[in-house]
Amino acid sequence: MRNRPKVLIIDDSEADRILLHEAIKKAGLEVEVQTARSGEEGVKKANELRPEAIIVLDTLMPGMNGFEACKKIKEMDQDSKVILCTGVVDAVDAAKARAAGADDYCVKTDDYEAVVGAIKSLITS
Amino acid sequence: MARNRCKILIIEDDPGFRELLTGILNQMDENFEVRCGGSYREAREAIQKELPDLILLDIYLPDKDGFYFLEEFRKNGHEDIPVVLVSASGNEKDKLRGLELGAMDFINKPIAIEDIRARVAFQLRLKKITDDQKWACQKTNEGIKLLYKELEKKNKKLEQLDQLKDEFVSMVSHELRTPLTAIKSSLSVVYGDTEGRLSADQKRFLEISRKNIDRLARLINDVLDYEKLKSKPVGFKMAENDLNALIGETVRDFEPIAANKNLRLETEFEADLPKFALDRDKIMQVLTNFLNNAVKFSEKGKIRIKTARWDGDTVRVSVEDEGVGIEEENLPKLFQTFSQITNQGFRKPGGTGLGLAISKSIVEGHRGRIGAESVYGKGSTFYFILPLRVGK
Amino acid sequence: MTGKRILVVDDEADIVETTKAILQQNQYEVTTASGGEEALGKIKQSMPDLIILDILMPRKDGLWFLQKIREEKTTFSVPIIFLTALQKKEEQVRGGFVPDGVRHRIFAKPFEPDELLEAIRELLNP
Repeated sequence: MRNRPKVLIIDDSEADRILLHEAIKKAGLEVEVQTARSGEEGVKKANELRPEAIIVLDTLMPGMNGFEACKKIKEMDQDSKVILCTGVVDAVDAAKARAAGADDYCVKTDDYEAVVGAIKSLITS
Repeated sequence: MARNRCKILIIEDDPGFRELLTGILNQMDENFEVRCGGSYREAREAIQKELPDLILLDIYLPDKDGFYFLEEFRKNGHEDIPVVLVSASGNEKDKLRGLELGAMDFINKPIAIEDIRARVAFQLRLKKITDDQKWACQKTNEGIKLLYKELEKKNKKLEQLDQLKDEFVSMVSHELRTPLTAIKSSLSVVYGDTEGRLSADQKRFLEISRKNIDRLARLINDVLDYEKLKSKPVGFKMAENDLNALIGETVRDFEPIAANKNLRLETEFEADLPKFALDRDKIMQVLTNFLNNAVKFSEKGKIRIKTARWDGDTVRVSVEDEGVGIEEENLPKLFQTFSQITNQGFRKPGGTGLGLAISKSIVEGHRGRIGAESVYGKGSTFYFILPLRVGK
Repeated sequence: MTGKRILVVDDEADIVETTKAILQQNQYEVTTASGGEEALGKIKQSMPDLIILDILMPRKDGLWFLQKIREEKTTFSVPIIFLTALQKKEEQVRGGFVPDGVRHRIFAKPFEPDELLEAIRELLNP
């Protein structure tokens, strides 16, 4: 079953969603990208996309934030892979991410280098 | 492949006891992965294959004892893997030795099941906390490194832009000043050629041209001056100067201009003011700016220029006029760029609106303070305070 | 003052022409050059009594000319008036380009013709 892996981007900022999608394309990753605009929508979509979707969550969102969404998704599907990402790294947030069950926690730079790298390593593992 | 499989290694030479422990652990949690070894050698092989999350270690082993293994284990850098010693001896010395060598806990045989359970759960919980924190640290560090890299890139770009801007300013300077020079000189030649033979009208309009060239030249200076001050805080030629003399000279130059509007210039200088470090040209520029404004916005009365010691080791220079004054709400905006206060009933003042902003840059470049006080309708006082720094 | 020769060096034709006119109005003899190389040629033909020289940092002609003077003529002592289109102080700060012992003035463009004439008088009659 050689389906392309699915990547779900959950971020309330349209610019971030678009730019990350571009960065993924530019890196040549063979994946199918979907997006969601909020934690709630993201959790629903993750449920539809499982198993084996890689989920990229923004930590800071109105309504359900990234940590909460991560917890919910992990509860729903133990085998899901979740990356939490943020504009500003913070050690306290990193600990929160771990506690929420995230597989990775990384910074959103202009080139999205870290996020794309995290997605890559989750695909190959 | 669930991530929360805990790997536990049991090193115990008694096979019956090994089985007992294995049973207890498997019953505790189906996610435990339990491995066993019966000797020092088997223990070493096991950890070479894969590092566990917890080791239950018997002290008395057939080849080398548990202490030997433990010491070696710790020496090889595995500080973070909890080791719980198990022993039949129950003796205090063994316990202490174990703890000294880096064991986390000590269990006596015969064991109570609840005991094992509680202590194993405790050690694993502790290890998870440490692991989680290490993970958070590592991820944060990685993020910070990337942010630094990005910051460096952005700084480089800014430096490039700054450089481009400098080049642009130079070019503009040349392009604007060259035609002005040609026009000014041409007017001078015409005037020189026709001296005495010009009608009143011709003289008048030549004069207007001259005045406006000068005005343009000042405007260019203002704008370029401001750009320079903004991008290069260096460039102050500090030297010891006599402030009173400097101000006196500037005021004298202003006398004809003031006389034209029937305004009196009065000076009041602090006696015995020592020479101190300042940029002569720039301070004169500030004072000229103040005097210009005072003359521009006054129709009558006198303009008082004062120097006075202020607050110990600073000196305050003030220019006080009896002009139109400034409304309270406009005072904070005065020293911002491009702010020009238009007064009801009076002509809109000319200029770029940069003069006071430039003065502010200059005074702050001297580590001083600039300010203004005013009563609308009565007059204004513009002042700056400079530190009396001796030497460079 | 009469009979004194001034060399005007500037790459802008209008500046050369108008400056020349002002000087001639005041009884000076004027030669001109539109660049450093031409200026060097002119002074080799005959040394003027004063040089008015455009110094513009981006276009290093004026500096090049001075460099050449320093290299070739160890006893150059003709006074120089520098015209600059950049901020006057900028030039002074970046200064140190004046050959030793050469009396000089620096004028920012646009200069005041009367002030220029006054400076010329001073430099020619020390």
